[in-house]
Amino acid sequence: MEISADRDGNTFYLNMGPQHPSTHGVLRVILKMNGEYIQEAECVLGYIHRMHEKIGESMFFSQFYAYMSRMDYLSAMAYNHGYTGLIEKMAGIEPPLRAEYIRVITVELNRISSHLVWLGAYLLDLGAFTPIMYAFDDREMILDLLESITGSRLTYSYFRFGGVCKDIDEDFIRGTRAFIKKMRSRLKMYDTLVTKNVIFIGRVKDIGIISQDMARRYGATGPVLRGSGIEYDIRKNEPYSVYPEFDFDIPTGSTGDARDRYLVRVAEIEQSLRIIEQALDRLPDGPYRTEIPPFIELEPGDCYFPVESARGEFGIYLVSNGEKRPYRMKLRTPSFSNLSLFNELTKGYMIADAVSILGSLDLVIPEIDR
Amino acid sequence: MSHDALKQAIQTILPEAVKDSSYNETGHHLDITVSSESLVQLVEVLDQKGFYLVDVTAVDLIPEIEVVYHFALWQKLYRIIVRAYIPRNHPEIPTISHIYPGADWHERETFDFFGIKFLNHPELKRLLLPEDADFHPLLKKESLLEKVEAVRSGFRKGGCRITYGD
Amino acid sequence: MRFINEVISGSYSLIAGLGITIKAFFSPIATVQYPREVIDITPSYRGHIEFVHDLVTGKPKCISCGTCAMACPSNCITVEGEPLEIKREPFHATGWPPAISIPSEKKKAPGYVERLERPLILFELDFAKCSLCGLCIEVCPENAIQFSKVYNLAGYCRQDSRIDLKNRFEEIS
Repeated sequence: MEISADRDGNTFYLNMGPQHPSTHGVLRVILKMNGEYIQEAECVLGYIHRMHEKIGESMFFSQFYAYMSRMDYLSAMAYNHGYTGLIEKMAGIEPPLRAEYIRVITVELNRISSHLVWLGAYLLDLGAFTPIMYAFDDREMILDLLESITGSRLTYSYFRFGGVCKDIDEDFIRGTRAFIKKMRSRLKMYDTLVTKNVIFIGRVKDIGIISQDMARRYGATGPVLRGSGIEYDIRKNEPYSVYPEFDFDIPTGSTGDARDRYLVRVAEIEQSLRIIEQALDRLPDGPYRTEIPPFIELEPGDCYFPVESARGEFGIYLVSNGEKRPYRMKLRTPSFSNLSLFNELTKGYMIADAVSILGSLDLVIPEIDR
Repeated sequence: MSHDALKQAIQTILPEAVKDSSYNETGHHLDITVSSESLVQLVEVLDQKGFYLVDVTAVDLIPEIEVVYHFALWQKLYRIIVRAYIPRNHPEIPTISHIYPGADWHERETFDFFGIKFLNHPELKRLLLPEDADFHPLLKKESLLEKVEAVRSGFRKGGCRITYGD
Repeated sequence: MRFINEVISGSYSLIAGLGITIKAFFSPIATVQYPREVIDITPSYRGHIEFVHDLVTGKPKCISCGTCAMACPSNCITVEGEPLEIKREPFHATGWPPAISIPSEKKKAPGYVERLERPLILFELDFAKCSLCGLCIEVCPENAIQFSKVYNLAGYCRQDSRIDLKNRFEEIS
């Protein structure tokens, strides 16, 4: 795309304000426009900043756990997994095998539900009013399943240090198998309705191309990186929990435009269904929790533990001085690094394309601002 | 390029403190301590080897603030942590945003929380707190600061450990 | 030629999309007309906490130890009990254990000492701050609190969010 010459009188500032249906949260973008083309896009953050890192320094480890699901509410199980995995690694606690399988099943169900919300909201930004209804209808099945074991629909606090807080029963297993069958037929429907649609392809093909070098320098992870052709997934490259026992693929794109990121996410839903099926077939019997005292102390030292959430690499860096509270806790969230690409990426595009790029990055603003 | 080859490559350029770190305990393979002057040179070497930037943050300790950088590789599992120490009354360190543009926002956030000035940064202003805030939240009170040795593994405080429960 | 290709691919997308919509038009409805039809709540739903009935005495099992108030991350529980007088006998040759012991019901031994009650004066929950994490239920040594199934709370002012559990227990039982 060409950037037209900067003549005086044609440059103005347009504010995509904190209240906007397409920014998926409270994000303010100041666009410096030349006519219809964007020259610079500056993001202003901090509208939902709650200073979780300071709160984490004044709470016991088990108390801070409830804040983890409030950061990224759509993929809360993965954040729970990251926090409990970190504390278990530092303290040397081994959860039983049944608990690990239950954790993987719930994390993958949550990943599918997060991708369904992204699908509906992205297509709503592009102007299609039907797919969001179908996506949210499918998501209701997942939310009902998870509500029957955890008690909440969105912000789960289901894991505990040493296992999970409640066991799963036959109803849940039966319901999950029925859901897997139904979801596979629905994926075919999305393929016909959306993926082959001419208007959709015109809106997302060759928009927002991220090269591999650019992704490396900005630290982008998740489907944003996999759309550019790099096969990097924490579940395969740096396996944790029981992921080495499952057989699944990592879908990648080829060019790095918005259409490749869309295809990667839809393919990931199918891979998550595969993982859940294998986990249900191999679910062992046994205890679901090892009892540990509620207020624990960690040895002095520092540790970094990354997990793969629906948006990329979520990592916690914890520095402990031997007491019951952390000394310093840093939360590395994927959307923060993914959004920092936005300025360089939108130079020269029109506003409608900028909305399409912003939606394809799959942002959740509370996890950027923490 | 293997673990030893990378360690050699870094040690020939900068004879700084390069230590092996146990991955199972800390999540990193290599632990490097640099001075503020040789930081940019080290980061250029890591850029040539193909590392991606994970995070930039800081920890408030006695006697100096520690600035921490995390790097990792795509091709195989390898994580590096780089530490630099700067004095508390004069907290300045050169920026790496001309090599890794992703460090732009990370450094703005670290300035916001700790007051660390990154020299030659394109636009160092607050990111998350309001623009007219006049405090840096994550700096600790004098009575709560810990020594650098006290937050490294292997340090044992005196006395027994008390935990609640059965 | 390109024009004809575009017309064909465009009308294919249109017909496929309309086909899916018409199929959905004849499928069963997924919406529940809420105030007129009500769905059953799952047994593990997390409402605000409430006391558990003690089957033997019929009173709440709470011994006002205050562990739930300490474990809460949001500081929303306030517990007050009557002060307890403990009589101590002087130690003699077989001095240990002291004369008063308070075993919990789980650890009933053959030589069972009668349980001393520390009467509860006040147990107040500020539900506006509660995040339904469940830590208070986990650390309670007597298993005296549990999640309730209340899902449609309403009030007129902010003070309505303070729930007095003891009064609620007496109202229900």
